[in-house]
Amino acid sequence: MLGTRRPAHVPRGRKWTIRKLTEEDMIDVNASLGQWPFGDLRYNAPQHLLKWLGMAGIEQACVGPLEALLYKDIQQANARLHKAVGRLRDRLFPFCAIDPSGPDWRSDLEQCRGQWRTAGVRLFPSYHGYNISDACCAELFEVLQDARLPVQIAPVICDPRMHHERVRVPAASLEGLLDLLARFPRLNVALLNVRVETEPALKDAAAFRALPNFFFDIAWVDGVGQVGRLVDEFGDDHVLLGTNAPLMIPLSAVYKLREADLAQAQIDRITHDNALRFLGTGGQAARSPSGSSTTRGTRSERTPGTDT
Amino acid sequence: MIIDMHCHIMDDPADRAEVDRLLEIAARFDIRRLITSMGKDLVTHPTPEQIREANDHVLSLVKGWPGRIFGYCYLNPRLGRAACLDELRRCTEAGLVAIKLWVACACNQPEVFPIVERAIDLDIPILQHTWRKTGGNDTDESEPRQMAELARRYPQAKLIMAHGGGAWEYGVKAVRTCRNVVVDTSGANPTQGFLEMALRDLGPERIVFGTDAPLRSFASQLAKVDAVKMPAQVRRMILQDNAVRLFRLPIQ
Repeated sequence: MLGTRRPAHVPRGRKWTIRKLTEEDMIDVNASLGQWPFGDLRYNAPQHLLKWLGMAGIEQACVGPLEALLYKDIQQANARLHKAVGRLRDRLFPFCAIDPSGPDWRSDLEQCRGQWRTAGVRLFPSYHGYNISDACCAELFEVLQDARLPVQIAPVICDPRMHHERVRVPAASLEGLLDLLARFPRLNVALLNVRVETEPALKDAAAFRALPNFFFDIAWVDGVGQVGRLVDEFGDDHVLLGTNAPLMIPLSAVYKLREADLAQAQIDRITHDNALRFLGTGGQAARSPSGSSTTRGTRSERTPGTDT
Repeated sequence: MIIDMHCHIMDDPADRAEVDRLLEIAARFDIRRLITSMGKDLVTHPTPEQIREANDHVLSLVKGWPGRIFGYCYLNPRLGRAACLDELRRCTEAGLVAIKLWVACACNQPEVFPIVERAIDLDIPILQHTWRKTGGNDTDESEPRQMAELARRYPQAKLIMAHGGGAWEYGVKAVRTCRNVVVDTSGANPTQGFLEMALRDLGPERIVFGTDAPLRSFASQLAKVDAVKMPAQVRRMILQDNAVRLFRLPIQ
């Protein structure tokens, strides 16, 4: 039987909060670990993060290193991420940060891949000062495609209106994304922290919908019914559960799925199946870098028909 | 039962199905009462005609869904004392329960004072949009420190600082010594830490739940409250009791 825990400390009267959203393990593709230079974070250590995600019913997460935003040698941040994830690799999938505009990023990537077995790569173009249409980005994408490593692009981490006055980092432009996706059809690319509903570069939803390697997360999607509208527009195969935890509250993303009028099969895709596809596991079991399976049983082995 | 004290129902009141649809989505989260403002177009610097149109829209909603939807009287202080106070009288007599001020005039400007004085007379709260934006605010957009200035000038006024001041680390601090300022939770991404700081620095009696829906989802905004561990009575204060008291809503 599925557990009946409440996702947070909410009143028992709200019946829907005691139901799990899906029978599958929910995967958050957009979480982070490490230090945030602008204030204390409560849930930035692995166990704390997992506990907090667990309050929202999320069992697994792709994690990137927050230190990578401002470290001059971001490989130090990747080393910290590797160490932090440690034995939790069956639940936390490290996404090393790579700066393709920086010197010798190929060696950094090789270490992340070979020694630390990164599950993918996370890019912070706004913090590292390049555009995704720059040649360096295409060079990186080529390497990642050959290496079968998925890539995440985070044009922004926190609301630019709320940045530190002395550390203003405007959101990176996504101009040229469509071309890039078409150029590297075997590379899975996920956008994180994008208000997809208003992002000018994503206006042509039909074009993006046709690209099986394109994904986006719902961490920043907001507005009543907006998630449902984007699922209709882009197709449920492209949407991922993402929270931007620990900076943002994971429960928000899960509640937004509650707010959307989605069929159970769509929720399963968004919270689980699409993440597996994005990670390159072919819809089987979520790969941990150590190679062990991370799903605790297939759907058919679980209690069928449970109301979620 | 939860009260969303900061939303903008923009649907045409004549289209009952559209409004019902929004209320149904809210009700999924147990949000059963909504206090709306600014009509369907959200005009930043409205003319007298636009003000009247916005408030008529709200009045239609209030009349169409009695006891379920309540409303603010939207005012533009730049239109002058007489125009504002006349419109306020018209709207409060018709049943609106509070005043909404947005970005037409910074809240520490003299044009705002007659409105505040009348609000004190009527014992109704003022919801003031506030934000402290990195790189500078829009012209006439109020900052939390201006809100604090207004609160100190009128300690009897019941003031609500919308969005916790946007950048809540500054916003909460700016008003924490102003006992007549309550913050609302609406708008902005659901960042971790806001509610914890507000609870610590202001206390639960000075926090009210709002969403800014439909611009923000009920979901993302309620998560701000639900993700924080707190006693049940404190949660109830934020989600319901404080609003009932502040707006003197006829709810048992």
